[in-house]
Amino acid sequence: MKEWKEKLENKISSELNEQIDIYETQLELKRMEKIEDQLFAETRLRKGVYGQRYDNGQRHDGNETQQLNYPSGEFLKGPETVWDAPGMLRIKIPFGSINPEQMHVLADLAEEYADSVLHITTRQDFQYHYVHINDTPTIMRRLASVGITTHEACGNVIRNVTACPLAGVCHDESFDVSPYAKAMAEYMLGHPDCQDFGRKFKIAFSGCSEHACGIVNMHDLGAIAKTRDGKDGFEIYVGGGLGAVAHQAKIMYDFLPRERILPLMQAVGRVFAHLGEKKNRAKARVKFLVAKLGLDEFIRLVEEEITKLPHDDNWTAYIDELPEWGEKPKKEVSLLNKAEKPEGYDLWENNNVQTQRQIGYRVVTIMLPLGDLSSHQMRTLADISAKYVGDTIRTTIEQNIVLRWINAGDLIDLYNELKKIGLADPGAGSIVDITACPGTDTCKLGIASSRGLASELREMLTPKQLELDEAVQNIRIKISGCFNSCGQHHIADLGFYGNSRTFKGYKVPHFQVVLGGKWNNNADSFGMAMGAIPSKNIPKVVLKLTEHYVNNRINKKQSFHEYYTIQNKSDVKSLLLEFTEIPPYLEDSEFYTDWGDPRVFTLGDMGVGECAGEVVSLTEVELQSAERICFEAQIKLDEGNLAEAENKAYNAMLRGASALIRKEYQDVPSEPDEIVAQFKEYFYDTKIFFDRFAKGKFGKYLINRNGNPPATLDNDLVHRKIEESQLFLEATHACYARLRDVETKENRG
Amino acid sequence: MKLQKFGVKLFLEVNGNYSCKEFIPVFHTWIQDKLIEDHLLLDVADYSHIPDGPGVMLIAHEGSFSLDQEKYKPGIMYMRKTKMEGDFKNRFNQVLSITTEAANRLQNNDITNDVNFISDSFRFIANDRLYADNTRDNQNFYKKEIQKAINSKYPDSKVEIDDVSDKQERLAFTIRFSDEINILE
Repeated sequence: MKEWKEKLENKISSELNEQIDIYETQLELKRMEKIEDQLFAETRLRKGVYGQRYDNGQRHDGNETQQLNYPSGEFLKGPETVWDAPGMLRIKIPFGSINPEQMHVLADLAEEYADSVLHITTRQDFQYHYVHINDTPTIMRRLASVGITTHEACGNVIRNVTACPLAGVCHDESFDVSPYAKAMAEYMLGHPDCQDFGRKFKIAFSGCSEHACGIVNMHDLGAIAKTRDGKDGFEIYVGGGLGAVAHQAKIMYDFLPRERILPLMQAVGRVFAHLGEKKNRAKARVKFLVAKLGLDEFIRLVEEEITKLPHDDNWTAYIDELPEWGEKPKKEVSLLNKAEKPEGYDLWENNNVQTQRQIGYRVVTIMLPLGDLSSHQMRTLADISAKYVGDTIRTTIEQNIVLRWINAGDLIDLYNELKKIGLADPGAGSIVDITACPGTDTCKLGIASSRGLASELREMLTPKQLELDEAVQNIRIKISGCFNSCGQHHIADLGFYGNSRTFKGYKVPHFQVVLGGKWNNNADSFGMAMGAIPSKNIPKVVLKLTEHYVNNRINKKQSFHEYYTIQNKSDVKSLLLEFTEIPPYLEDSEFYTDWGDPRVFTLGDMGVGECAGEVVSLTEVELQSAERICFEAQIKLDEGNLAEAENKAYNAMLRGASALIRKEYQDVPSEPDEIVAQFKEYFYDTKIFFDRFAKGKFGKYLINRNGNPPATLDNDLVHRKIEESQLFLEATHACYARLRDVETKENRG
Repeated sequence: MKLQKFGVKLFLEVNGNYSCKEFIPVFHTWIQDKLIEDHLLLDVADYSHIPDGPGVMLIAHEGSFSLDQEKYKPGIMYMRKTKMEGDFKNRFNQVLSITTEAANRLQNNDITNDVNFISDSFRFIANDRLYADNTRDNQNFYKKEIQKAINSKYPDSKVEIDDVSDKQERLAFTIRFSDEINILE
């Protein structure tokens, strides 16, 4: 019998075939131990083959750390990553465009090689989890046979190019950005000028500046469609990004003719590859290069680079094909269906159906809880799509799927068919349509269970949905399992990111509450942390904050975002205060577990009665104090007092560092330089402060601020400085927790 | 016969008062106590939010156990991933045993008493479109092979095979015993 490779040979482009052959050879060389772990890790990452939680061969089962003794033994597929351990595979879907044939293959592969679940990411990609690395070449071949690649889905390369899922059918767009996103994705895929980046690079296209579909402001390079003097072009943004410290992108060009976008990206790639940071990952995104050089100098260098580029016909070849671009509806517009509306239909139509620019057609959003759908759902959805819309399907950055070009007369029939497979939940784009990254479910970096929390909030809010105030119904909740923002918490009305706190010797999962983020206008403002709340109290916090908003807003026109943006931060903090309390372990042990996971939340050997007594240590008191100072910095920023805000952010870090020093040494200096010197000597240089993944990144925030205070201040910079301070304090809490763990172990020993 | 990746699903009694989320702690206990022989138990995945999906899963290196909800027909499914020794008859009977053992454990758990599995039928699911694509020929072939395997375990038993999967689905069908066979015993 033919293997998949032979069977599909003629269905795969020679280019993709060659790429997969090379990857397969690299796998073979790794098996022969002829490639070192680190190099192989980057190789597989560039093919979308990612690690997953517990792939270091260890897992805490709630009682103890179990060694996962895989058959492959200590053979690795990357540093500390065991070969046999299941991993994640990310699949690129440029601008989220998929067709029924591709959906069938995606469904089949999820069943055969993963856990029968397809997960849509916040970059319009698909992800499979629990995949064995040995299966990845076959998966790639089967995907390639329907024109899908995983190439450059991860790693320090250009990631999936995203775009508005409504592009081409939207009422407000200047023009359809889809063919430009497609051209960008195809031209830059594997481009030699973009293979030597220090970090990943993300590109997005938006059809208008008012709405959020493209969220251009949080991208390394963003393009908003504009028409000037009858010509199509783009407003170009550069240097945005979320991550631990969010940066708003800056306008690079207010209008760039469309034929210049590909050479522009090529030149940006060359400048980034040449001058971008390579050693310190924490400073390697293009946002740091733009900040370091200054926008004007960055633009000058890019423009200089463009003049050096040899002409490439492919820069504009796609433009000749634009007149043919466009989607054709599968079905003619027909009269509205007069059939009786089934139960639940009206609510679904109200929430999940939008009119298209094209008369008689509708866009239907299929809301996917946690961005997940099963193979069976996907396969049936492919058939439904083929029947009603043909190829015009898109994934969204809100982890949903949209069907475009639905004849309005088919809506009732479509609803009935979707309902049969559980895909007709109402609430798309509402408070129950919660975005969450994988968090502790599968991500190696996850601190708290973002998906568990999202699931809990969804279950709590869904039955109440119709009773909620209309403005509350429409707020966006986004959750990340850690500070890295994969759940895009910075741009939500109500954002959360996972962290942990140590309370009387126990670790307790927490979430930082982030308020003030903006989803509309391409995410033109980012939220700020308001305080860490035990995970189990977050549902109450959601109810409290929404209720408080409804009862106190000026009028019904004032949005949740507007209300909390102008609120006195101290008042908001007071609102949250009652939820910060943690009951003793013996009184309510639920607080010491995370949502959807009954294991005690711990890194290891913690148990009842092992806390260091009931006395709260001075270090904990000082850490509390440092958090308070950091919060005061936010208040000063709100008041427009930039200098004091920045100074408080710095002082909060100093207080946190002092707290750590006090944990280990009796005498703590009072002068900033001395505090920083001791912090550096005892905690930074010794790497005690280092996080396993972030390394010394957060410690650098203090050291750099001490050595190089900012000469000039603006709102964005101070906003970032406060975020840096908050992250330094999170790392301080984590370091303190690790030191406590060591003590506990020693006491046991 | 090369097919290694296949599974067996036992359906829950229709009147079972059952929420798969209740079994999250149960599966965690299985991991803690290493309850499944010859399996490296890795993690629990909660997909209970997908109404037509795998429910709650216990992931192991060798295969996964899921409280599967596909087509709203809940049950326990064991899907083998790694290679087993022996001929197909032997491999099939091993997979059936692993599934029935898991079903018995779920029935006998001390968290809920409402779990009962239908004991005179099960579903066979081939999970490899290379070696068992869902064609008429393959359906007939695997029906015969499964009957042979069943006969080796339950001599002289009579079975009916129905509910063959649609052509786009994985090759699958349901086996019903027409005599008083209880596969959970």
